[in-house]
Amino acid sequence: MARYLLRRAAYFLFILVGVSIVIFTTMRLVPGDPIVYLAGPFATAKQRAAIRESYGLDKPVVVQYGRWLAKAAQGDLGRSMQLHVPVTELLFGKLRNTLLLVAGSMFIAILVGWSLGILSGFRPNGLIDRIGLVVALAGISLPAFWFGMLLIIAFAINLPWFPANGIVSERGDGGVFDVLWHLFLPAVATAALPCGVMLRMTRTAVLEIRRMTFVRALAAKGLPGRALAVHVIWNALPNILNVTGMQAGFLLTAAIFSEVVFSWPGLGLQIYAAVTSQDYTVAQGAVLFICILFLLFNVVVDVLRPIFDPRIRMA
Amino acid sequence: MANHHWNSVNRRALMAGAAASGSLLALSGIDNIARAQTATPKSGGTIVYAMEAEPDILDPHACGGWHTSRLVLQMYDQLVEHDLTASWQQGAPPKLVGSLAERWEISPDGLEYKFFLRKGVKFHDGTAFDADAVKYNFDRIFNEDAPQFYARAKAYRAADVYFLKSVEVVDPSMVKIILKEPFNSFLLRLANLGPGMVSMISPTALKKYGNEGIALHPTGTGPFRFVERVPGDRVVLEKNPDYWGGNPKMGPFLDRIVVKPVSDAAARVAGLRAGAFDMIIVPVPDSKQQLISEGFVWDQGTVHHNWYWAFNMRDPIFKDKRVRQAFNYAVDRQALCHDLLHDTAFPMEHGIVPPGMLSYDPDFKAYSYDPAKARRLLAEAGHPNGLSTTFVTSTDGSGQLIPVPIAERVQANLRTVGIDMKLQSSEWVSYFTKWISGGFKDVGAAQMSFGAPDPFWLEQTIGCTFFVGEVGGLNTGYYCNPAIDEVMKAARQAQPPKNGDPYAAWGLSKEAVALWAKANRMATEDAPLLLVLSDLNPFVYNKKVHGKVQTALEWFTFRTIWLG
Repeated sequence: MARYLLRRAAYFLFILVGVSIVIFTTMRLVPGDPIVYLAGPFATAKQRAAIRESYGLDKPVVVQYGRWLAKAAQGDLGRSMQLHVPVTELLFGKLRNTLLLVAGSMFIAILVGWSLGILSGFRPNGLIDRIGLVVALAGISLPAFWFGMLLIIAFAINLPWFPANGIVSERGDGGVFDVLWHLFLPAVATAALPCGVMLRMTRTAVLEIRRMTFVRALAAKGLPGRALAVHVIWNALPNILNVTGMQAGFLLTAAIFSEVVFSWPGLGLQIYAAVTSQDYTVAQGAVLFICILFLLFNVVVDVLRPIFDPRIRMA
Repeated sequence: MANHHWNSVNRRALMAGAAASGSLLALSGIDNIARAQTATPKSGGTIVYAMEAEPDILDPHACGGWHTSRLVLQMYDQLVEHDLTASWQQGAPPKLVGSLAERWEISPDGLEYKFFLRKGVKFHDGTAFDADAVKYNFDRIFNEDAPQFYARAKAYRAADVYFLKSVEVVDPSMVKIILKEPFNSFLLRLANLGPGMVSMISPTALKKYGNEGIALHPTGTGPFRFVERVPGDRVVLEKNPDYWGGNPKMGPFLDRIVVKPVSDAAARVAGLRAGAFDMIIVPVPDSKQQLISEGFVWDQGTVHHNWYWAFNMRDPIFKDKRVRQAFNYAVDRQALCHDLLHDTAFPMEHGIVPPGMLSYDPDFKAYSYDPAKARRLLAEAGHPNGLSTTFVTSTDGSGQLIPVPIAERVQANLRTVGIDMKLQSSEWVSYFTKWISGGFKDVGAAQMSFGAPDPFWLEQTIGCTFFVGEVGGLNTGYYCNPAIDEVMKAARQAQPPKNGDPYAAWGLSKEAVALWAKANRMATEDAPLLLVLSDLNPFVYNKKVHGKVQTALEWFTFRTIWLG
């Protein structure tokens, strides 16, 4: 077990370093010079050079990378070039907000996707299945930002039930209920796509299991419907979890659409702003963050799989 | 006299809009000032203001773009400022008033500016404001040998660097600034905001937090103090009860200001309608009628803003003046401003200099919509069958309004006179970066929007002997006309105003303004730019907001605003 964990940790680090090298060099290969933007429209070449030096961007790329890596290993990701805010401080706040949005969206998506998917799997071509199909297709086809705007118009303006944007009320106290109230509409908007995908995949997973011989055998032996259903669902779970895990990881950055429409201060929006303004430090730090999260998600799914799938446990 | 004329021109435009919408609330600008004068301001309350983008750094010496300046100016003061309590109808730009300097004297040769500093002023951290603080701030921006020198600040103020010789402390309440050569726009430059403002930062705070950290701990002398900033979410300011300029009639009244960056215009409008925001900037033009009918106040007025294309003078097609003029005659600006932008912009038909600058001349009839003349000029210039070119613009950006739809309208206009204009667009930051560094070498024209209250802006935009940036700075089209440069140089070197000069309140003389107006006419005739429109900078707010002055500037103060 220890050797397994050690190997995983080494693999983790290897991927992190690899990804950081990729983002580091990619940002510097992108045409355009962040110093030009930072220095403003009236700067002379000499002034730009002075600013470039103050950011350490006049050194060779390898030297820049070495310096950055050395600091990153100690947890110092530098300061945002645009805002001067320390990158870790900037990203942690955003990360928490995005995780909140992802958690909220996944909650809704799982609630609707799993339940409708399972029910559809047990009664294919029935009424629930057809409703599920429409829901799934709508979720997959509707653009998230358009759906988000629609939700705002419907439930924030015409029917003033929910706030139109932000994470806490501008004048409020920012308590848990305030945040949840603000979370609802963006979570619904973000949940549409994963819900649709999970609904169909869950349905397929359930149908697959139901086709298996052991299910017929159990039914023939007289196992009551409800208990049989439990067996089916339990066996379908590994595949369902797989899809769910993937959707959750995908949502980390796909949430950007809702983040823009609802002004939800999350990571996706921050990365987009950093990359477009060529804020190297924030972009590098943010990609590192996402990479770590993605790897952690993977680890969680890998750890959970043996619990749900005895075939893996035995191997 | 000139001011009165363009007042009526714009009031006519607004009234036409009001008649069309059938609502008197379209005249809200005038209405609002009337309300501000009669109602008694109430102290207290929190206002929520949604702005069009995330502010960049809250360091006045290095902040870029008007959207950040609008926020930073609430916390910081300069030596002189434009009178932000004057609405646009009262004259453009607003007169200069002493802020941290009570008054000033200019030597007859125009080289020495003496500032008599206000006494008893304290920074937000309690540090006393005095001449040493002024020198400390100037050194940060201009003096490379000073320990507090900040390269980024100097880059923003490159135009002033050119003229500044030294800053001397005469006594704790007097500072003398000496220029290398006469530059009569100097006071206006000191009052100008974004990019880079010559504001006074507390030297104690600068020493404590350093050049990079000061942006996270803004410490000025302004009517509002910094509370917190959550990047991407909000900036919060609170009233400065010790503000030197505070008084019961003029404010500050608000307890708190919460500024939210909301980059999507539709989301800003939605937030306003849902009551989350009290005031927004840059609304969606299409939402004008709806918001007015829902009882919101829609306030707009002329500002120093010019949305234009700079012809690439290295492109052989544009070397012929007649071609450039033809383009200018081919654009139906009135229809564009009315149909597409719902009269939230002003058609630029009176020369390159927009309203909001002293050298603006409303009586100067420049390019109106005349497609027949355009075709004739093209034929004379050797293009009887039209021509083909590529123009670029951005997809969004500070002051750009809705660049692609506007550009597409212009494209359609050009097509009717036989010009095939291919349009390329890219995202703002990469576009602006490329534009600054002269990267658009192979296009026919590159679009930009810019402006300043001071007439020197004209020279920065089309001057060539005065090189501010590395590759033409704002003059991205490489336009060079030594005759016009001569006039502009004479304009900025003209003698300081004598007593009684009508333009003394801006530090300029009648002679200087006349020369700038002459340069405007010469330049407009030579058509280095394709003129389109000038933004009217609409703000929309709910009925609770009082005292918001629609200035003739791209910025305003929260000081006079109160909630009732």
